[in-house]
Amino acid sequence: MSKEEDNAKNPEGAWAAAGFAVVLLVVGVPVWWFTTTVYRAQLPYSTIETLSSQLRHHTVGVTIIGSLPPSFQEDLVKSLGSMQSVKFLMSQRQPTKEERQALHSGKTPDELDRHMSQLVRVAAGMLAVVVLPEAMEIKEVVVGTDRLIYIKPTADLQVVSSVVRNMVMDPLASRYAFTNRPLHHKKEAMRQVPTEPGYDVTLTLMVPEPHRTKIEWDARAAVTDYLSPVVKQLENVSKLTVRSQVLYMTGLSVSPQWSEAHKHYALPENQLPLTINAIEAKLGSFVWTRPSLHFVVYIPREKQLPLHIHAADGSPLPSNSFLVPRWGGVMIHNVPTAAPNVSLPRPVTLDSHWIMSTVLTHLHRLLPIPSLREIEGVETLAMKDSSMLTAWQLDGLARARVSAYLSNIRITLQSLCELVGEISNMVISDEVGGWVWGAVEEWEECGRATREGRLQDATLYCTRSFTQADAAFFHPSMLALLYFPDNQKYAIYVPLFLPVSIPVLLSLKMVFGLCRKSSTKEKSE
Amino acid sequence: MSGTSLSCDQGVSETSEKTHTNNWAVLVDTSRFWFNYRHVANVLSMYRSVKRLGIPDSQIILMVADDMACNPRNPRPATVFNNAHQHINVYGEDVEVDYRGYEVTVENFVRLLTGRLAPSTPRSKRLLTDDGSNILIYMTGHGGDGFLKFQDSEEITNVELADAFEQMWQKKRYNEILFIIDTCQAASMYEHFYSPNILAIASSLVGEDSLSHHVDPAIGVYIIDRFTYYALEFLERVTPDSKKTLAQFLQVCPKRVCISTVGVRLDLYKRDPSRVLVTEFFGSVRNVELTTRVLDLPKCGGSRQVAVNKSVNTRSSKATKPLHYASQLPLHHS
Repeated sequence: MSKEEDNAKNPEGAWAAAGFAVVLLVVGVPVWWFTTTVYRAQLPYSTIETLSSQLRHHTVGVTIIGSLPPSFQEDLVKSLGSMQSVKFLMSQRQPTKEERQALHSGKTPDELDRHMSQLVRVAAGMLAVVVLPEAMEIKEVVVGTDRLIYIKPTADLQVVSSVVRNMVMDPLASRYAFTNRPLHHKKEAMRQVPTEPGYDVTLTLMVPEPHRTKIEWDARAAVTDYLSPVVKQLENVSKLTVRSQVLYMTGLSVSPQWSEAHKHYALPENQLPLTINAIEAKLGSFVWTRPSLHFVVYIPREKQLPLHIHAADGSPLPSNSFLVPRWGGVMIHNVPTAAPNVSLPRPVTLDSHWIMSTVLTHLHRLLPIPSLREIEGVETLAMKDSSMLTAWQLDGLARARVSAYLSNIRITLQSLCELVGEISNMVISDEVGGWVWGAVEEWEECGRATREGRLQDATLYCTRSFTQADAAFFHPSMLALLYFPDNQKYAIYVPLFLPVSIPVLLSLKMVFGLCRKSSTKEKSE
Repeated sequence: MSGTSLSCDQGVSETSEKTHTNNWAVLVDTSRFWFNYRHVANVLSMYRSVKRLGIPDSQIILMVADDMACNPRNPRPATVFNNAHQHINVYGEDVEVDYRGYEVTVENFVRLLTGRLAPSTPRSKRLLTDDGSNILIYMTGHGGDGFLKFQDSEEITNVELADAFEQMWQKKRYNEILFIIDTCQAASMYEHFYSPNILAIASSLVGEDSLSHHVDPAIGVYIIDRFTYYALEFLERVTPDSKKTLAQFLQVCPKRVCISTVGVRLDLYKRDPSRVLVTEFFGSVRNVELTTRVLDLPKCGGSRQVAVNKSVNTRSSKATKPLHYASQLPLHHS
């Protein structure tokens, strides 16, 4: 009762309490809101959702030149249609007069291929199947150097179908495009290098005893002759930077056994897995951050010459080289043993052709370049006078990389959106926002180009999108550690605001009491 | 052409179950000051084992405060021992510390794991793993229920660690992780893990303290912890081509010698530890493939003659100019 009397005596107290409440709500809350919101650039979440759920497939146009029995054609269409990630658009036309002439006049497959490649222009990303006249003395299925497949009408359907499928995309890459995780327990999947825009290729020549052998090898010429054309061809698909070095006084720590039957030192296969650990530190891979591929040429020590790798069954390996998945390859180059009285160091030249053939073989398996080696009954023509890849190999590689990129970009952007959604007060700078928008735009373009079969555009867009998405994901400001999660927000704000709000709320109770009293007083009056 | 072979006396065999292509190790010592000598000895002993079994330095990230070897209280300067008999100097001459001194912070550790480093970070400080990498993560220091103390000034919580691993999993930065932690109440650190393919081993359960092994009277501090001591005893007998399995490694410190109970978290790891070799995490055994067929390339080299002539000319011109060392000190010629 006395409290009410006091309150009736000083309505100023009520006004003061009301004033505090007003200031708190009208001024305090907005000021707090504006000073604690973080800058978050707007990200295209819905676009990322839509693009993630879209199914992607490559479109490949196949033109059949000549006439095939209709059942053959239908069966071919059916069996090619079962490939998941590639849709084939079949069309057919009759050969022109010049083409017919070329078909009848060609004597060897190479000559035929040369003429036909000049006459039939196949766009990048497409294939053409040329039907050969029955009388030609040629293998049933021949794959040319420029996106042409020559088949006889009597060819086996299964063979033709698997040839087309393998040419178009590596079967493993096509499965990878549909699953999120890498395919474990698959040797081929573990062999390929992860898909990145650029790689560093290092050629290392290891000479453990330079005081005994003086190696004369023009590495620059070998690279210019054999490797540079391939590197130039692959420029748009994957950038390779080639370096070379010589390592002196370093050897592989292996213990081969003298094999009397073969008259050479035998290096069993089971010693190979541990050989490169010791030299890894010396190969200089700490210099750059791009993924690197190492190709090592090893000159054995004098007392271990000649050195040959033996397979599990004890037979010597003719190529004398092995591939380390995702890392590179090692080859052993034997040199002739020194004559007794020759002056040391003796000069030795290396066989560039053999070295570069091995290096390119390993590179083909690491990238990977599609090959038709496993299919029987097919003759594959290679480029003459050059180590360059054939056009269909380049296309196949590009397609596999585009599929891998698309899958990677989707995972990166989805993960980024999840992270940003979880930590609601994470700063998203304009830089990161710009990259994400750019990545999403290019991703959309790439998807469209893939569906329309424009392979070169797709490769370009995908590479740019992947680079931007990765830059945004790995931006140093995206660290969740720097921001406190939502459940800790209460722990921070409650001790700040509760001591201030409790007196204000209690005095509001007094204000309401006073208002009610005054209204009842008015009523009564 | 295969990477497998029949089991032999020497060399490596049975690589068909392996799912990884390379090995990395992240070894972290989170404490500093002289009385925490044993943590430095722990981590450097692990470093030695891992290097001996084949992981190259470029794939080991070592985070140590590194204030032991040159500490004014060290009676044997430039050395760190892990045993009172002082057999091995684990500091050695070729230790490569990647994060030393005050760089060992929670932020740097999480940045290292998630890959969100400043663009100017050198390669030796980056974890450049991919989806085929097996990573061994070893942490030691002072810990509590749900946190690990970093350098006496900050902490990393188990939630943050679990989130960092999840970020790694989403960006496919590891194939499998073996997480070993040797601190007090270590098992609390792996409680919140939710990413697959992680096998976690802790030296003590929640509520227990991990104890140190023995004092070196010559140095005056405890020089190694129990769990790491027995783990090293096991690893000393592992060779690069050994067939010892992880299941044997998990039994390395029973309660009667370790006094604390070793905690293991197996539910996120889908392979059977008795079929996983120790060298799949501690060593570096690669799958190799023999090359059976080499590409049949045409002989190139028409331009070589021209190149040879050019190089001969340049070589001769270079030979005429004499080479000399640059002057090391700026000399003023009056």
